[in-house]
Amino acid sequence: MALTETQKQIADRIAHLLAESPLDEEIKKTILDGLDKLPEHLIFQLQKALEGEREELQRVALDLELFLQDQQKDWQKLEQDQKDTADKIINKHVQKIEDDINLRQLQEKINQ
Amino acid sequence: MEKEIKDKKPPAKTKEGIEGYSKKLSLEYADGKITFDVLHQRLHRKMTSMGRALRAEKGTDQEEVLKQAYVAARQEWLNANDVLLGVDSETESATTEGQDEQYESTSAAIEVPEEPIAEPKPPAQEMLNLNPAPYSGSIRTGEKVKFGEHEWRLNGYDSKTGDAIIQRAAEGYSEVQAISQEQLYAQNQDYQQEPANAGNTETSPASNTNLVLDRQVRKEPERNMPEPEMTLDEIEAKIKFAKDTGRVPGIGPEGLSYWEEQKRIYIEKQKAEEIERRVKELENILRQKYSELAEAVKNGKFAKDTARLMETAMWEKNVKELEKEIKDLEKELEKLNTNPEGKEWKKEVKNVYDKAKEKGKKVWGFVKERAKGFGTFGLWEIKEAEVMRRGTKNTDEEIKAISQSIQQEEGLNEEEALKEATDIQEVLGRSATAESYEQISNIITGNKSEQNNKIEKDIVDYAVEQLGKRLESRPIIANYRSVHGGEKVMTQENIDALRAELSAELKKLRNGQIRKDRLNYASLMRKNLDPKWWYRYIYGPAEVVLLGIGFKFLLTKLAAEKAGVVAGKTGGEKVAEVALKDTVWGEAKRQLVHNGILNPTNTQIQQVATVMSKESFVSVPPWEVAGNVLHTKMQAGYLLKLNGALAEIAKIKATMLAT
Repeated sequence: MALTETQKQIADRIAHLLAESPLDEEIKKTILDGLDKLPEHLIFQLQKALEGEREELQRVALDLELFLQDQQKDWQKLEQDQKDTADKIINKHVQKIEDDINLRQLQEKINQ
Repeated sequence: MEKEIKDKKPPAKTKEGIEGYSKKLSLEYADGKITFDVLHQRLHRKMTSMGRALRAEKGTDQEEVLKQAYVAARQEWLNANDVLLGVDSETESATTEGQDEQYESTSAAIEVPEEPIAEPKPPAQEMLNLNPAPYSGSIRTGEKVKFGEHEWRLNGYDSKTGDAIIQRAAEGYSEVQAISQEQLYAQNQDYQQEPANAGNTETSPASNTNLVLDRQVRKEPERNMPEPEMTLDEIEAKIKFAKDTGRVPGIGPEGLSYWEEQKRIYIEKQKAEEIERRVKELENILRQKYSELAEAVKNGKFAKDTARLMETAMWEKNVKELEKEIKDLEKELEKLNTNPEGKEWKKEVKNVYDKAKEKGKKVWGFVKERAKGFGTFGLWEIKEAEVMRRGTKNTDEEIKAISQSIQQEEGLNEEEALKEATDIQEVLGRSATAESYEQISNIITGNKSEQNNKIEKDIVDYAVEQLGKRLESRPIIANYRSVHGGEKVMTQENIDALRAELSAELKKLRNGQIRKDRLNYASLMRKNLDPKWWYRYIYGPAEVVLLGIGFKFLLTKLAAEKAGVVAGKTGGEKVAEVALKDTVWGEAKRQLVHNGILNPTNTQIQQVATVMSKESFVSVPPWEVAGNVLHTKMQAGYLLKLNGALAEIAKIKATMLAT
């Protein structure tokens, strides 16, 4: 018996979801090979599970994207922090050298 | 007051796989603008229904309805921890090809609020409490935010509500990460545009500080169950609405034909669910009958053994009746579990699957790429991770090794390093060795650490150059040099000291960032990839299907055919074999796992190993199995026969199903 339009639509949706799913290829193959043995209620169950997986992965993808955006900003900020730190350290070293020279000059004066 | 509602289509192309119902909704007024992305269909739907309810209840003007509906829907959505709302107009959002079909128009909620309400629900009165209640600055998951009506001004977001929304939005995607107040506000500056006449102008730095601190110590939210599907009444209401308003596609997919199709699908599902209920019912009855049969057989045997003729006859009759009942039930069950259109389903799905396969790879490529190394995707991987988690409980030694590595590399104290090592183990859900530690860090930081290493070198070189320049610009030094005939004041010793100090400090900063990345990623993974959650709500139902295919049908029928039947029927024509890798026990366990029993018990392993040994002529004296070769003296590569073992596994599964 041929599938009704509705059944066809569901079948197509399952196919798309299954193709997108990151499930193991072996499991996908098992599902595809066993579809003809699967009662209709389990076909709907399959669709529901795959829809759920897809939705959850969308959430993961979004969170990952946000993580990456934040990470990018963090590393840019880090670079700026490092530059600021470098600036402070340079000044500290300049001051230290200057202090040494002052000391040296003072000693020279004392020695004179 | 001028207002314009812009409804922009999202870009057609995906941005490296990020998916979602993304839509820019921009509300522009004379002196303000709010732009936000509606990232999910459900938020959108919720907003639409809220809008309708409010319209019906309050009869307020469209603008007010929209604003209140949006806040209520948004808050409800955020309470469910389900989405991060993109609130920055500059934030790029993306969608994928194929999403358009599910695209809903937000304008529907604004322009046509006369749609009948399917199930009149309380119009979110609680949430839209009209009594002004100042925002406390510490909203917890599940709590409602109350908005005072008078606080709603032109652009809708006074500082208090803005804070609340920003806070919850931030919580939605990063619980542990400490985002500075500045960052939060920078990301959400649209909400900070307060009208000049807004009653409340407190941006309350103190309360914002609390927000950030509060978030740092907040526990991760509990995940919510997936939203239930629409009811038939709701679908019917949509159909009626589409008919009443002569709605056609263009405002969204909610045209008449769309909802009629949804109804047909709903009815189809209902029929299937009815069958499913009957199947379960029959299975329960069958289980009961099997038990009665066992009892009857036992009693009959006892009666026969004790020569009680009358009782024997009665029990025999009873057994026969039960056997017939069971046979009938099995027939009915078989019928229900048979899909007359099965071949057509298979053909259709396979046909479309092959075409869609390449596209599917692209969609999740990004996610898989970033999450690689964590191996948490896919049913088997998740379950494997669970198995491994259980199997690697005692990883104290490994944790210590990683912690030592962290200590050395990052200069943390022992306690901090140990905590971090434990975190890594937890996130991985499996054993992480000290050797893989660096690899894991690289996965998380991408190539950023490497890039920063190069930047560090540039900064150090630049610093040395700057040291010279700054020294030259100092009058004291210039004076000294002139007195001392241009003597160099910047010695190699000075340069080395600068380089050493600078390198150490820059590295410390970088390590801090690496650690932050790792903790953020850990939090992200823990929140998103909790195997238990996935298993319960996502793969649990999937496994029922796989049980249906793999266990009930493929294994008890096909595998039994393949294994037992093939062996018997074909007379060894096609015997499944595997070369010995380690031990028969190990192979039996692998076969069990491979065939879906992911955490086999020792009894199950022994059951399969015994059959495998017998069939392969392996002698195992402790199990009283005779054979040609002693199990302890076997060479790698010895061919083990699998037919009997596979049939045994099928039996184990059938037993598992029945219990």
